[in-house]
Amino acid sequence: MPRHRFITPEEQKQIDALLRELLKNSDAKTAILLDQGGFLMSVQGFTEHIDPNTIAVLAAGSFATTRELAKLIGEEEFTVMFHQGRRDNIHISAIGKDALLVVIFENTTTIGMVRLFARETAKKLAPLLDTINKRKSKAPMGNIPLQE
Amino acid sequence: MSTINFASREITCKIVYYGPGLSGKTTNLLFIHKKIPAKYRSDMVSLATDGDRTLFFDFLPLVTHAVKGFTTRFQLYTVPGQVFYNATRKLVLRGVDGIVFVADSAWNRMNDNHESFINMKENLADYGLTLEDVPYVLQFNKRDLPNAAPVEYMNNLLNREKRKVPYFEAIAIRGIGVFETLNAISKMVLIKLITDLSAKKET
Repeated sequence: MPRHRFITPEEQKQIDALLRELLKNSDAKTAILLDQGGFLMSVQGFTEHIDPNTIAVLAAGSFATTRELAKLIGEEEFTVMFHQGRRDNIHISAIGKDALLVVIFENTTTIGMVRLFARETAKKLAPLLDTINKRKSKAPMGNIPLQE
Repeated sequence: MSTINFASREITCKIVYYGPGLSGKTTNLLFIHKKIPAKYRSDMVSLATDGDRTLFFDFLPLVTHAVKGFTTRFQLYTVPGQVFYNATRKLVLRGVDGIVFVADSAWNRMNDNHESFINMKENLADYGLTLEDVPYVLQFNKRDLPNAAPVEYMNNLLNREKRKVPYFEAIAIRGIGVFETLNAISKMVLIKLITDLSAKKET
């Protein structure tokens, strides 16, 4: 894992577009991309009254806990998690070893649709995230000055 | 691992408050939460037991403008201090950029402080990190205790790595030393980030 991760504007645009496509296809409400340490990389869709940073942190914590549970029963990890609410539901899926995709959706769509399109989006995101993660600790757009 | 997003001009860093159970890690975060204006922080999340013991972590996000042209987000976490929560403690350390080690000044907690410090090194090692790589500071909390160990003793006990780090005396419950500690670690994290960047640029 690199010490610092850089996301260029072009990469961000691609990530955002893929999440928007996922929302359109699955009819879900909000899509959040984060790393397994809880760092938010993108949030798309409905974000009013929710704090995406906190959702990212708790989703990462929740996923980490279930991974440990998986190990205890001899599984490497559970790649998908689903929390069902009365109106809103959360679907969390792993993308490779380092990222998580959180999809929040209402009962107007189905878990099957969300799962199908989340899997497709994950496939498209994987090579992009791989490029970002393999990038050496070097600022692609010049130096970053400390505020005086 | 800090994340630098050039599209939204945001830098995000993770700072973890580590230390033995009941040393005052959550108290540090609660004081920061209370004092920082709402526009610079979000709500604090506490995953705690009924008895107010941290079960998984506390989380407090802060927003600053410490770096020119970038919004800098510091994510403050605490770990559960109790020995038997090591699995969750290790999870919180994932992607850490800076550590505040909160030690309890009571004489009878010196063993716990020392054990927790060793445990922190072991957990970092599992992520391929050493205290040479990760900026950290020490906070000697509860200085108002009648049986507080001398600062020199605590420094000698916990500041034994090759690289000596700053230490701060604190009474976190009254806010004393809390912001001095936070300012020091956030500055160290940003300096480390910038040094890493310039080092790579020269090569």
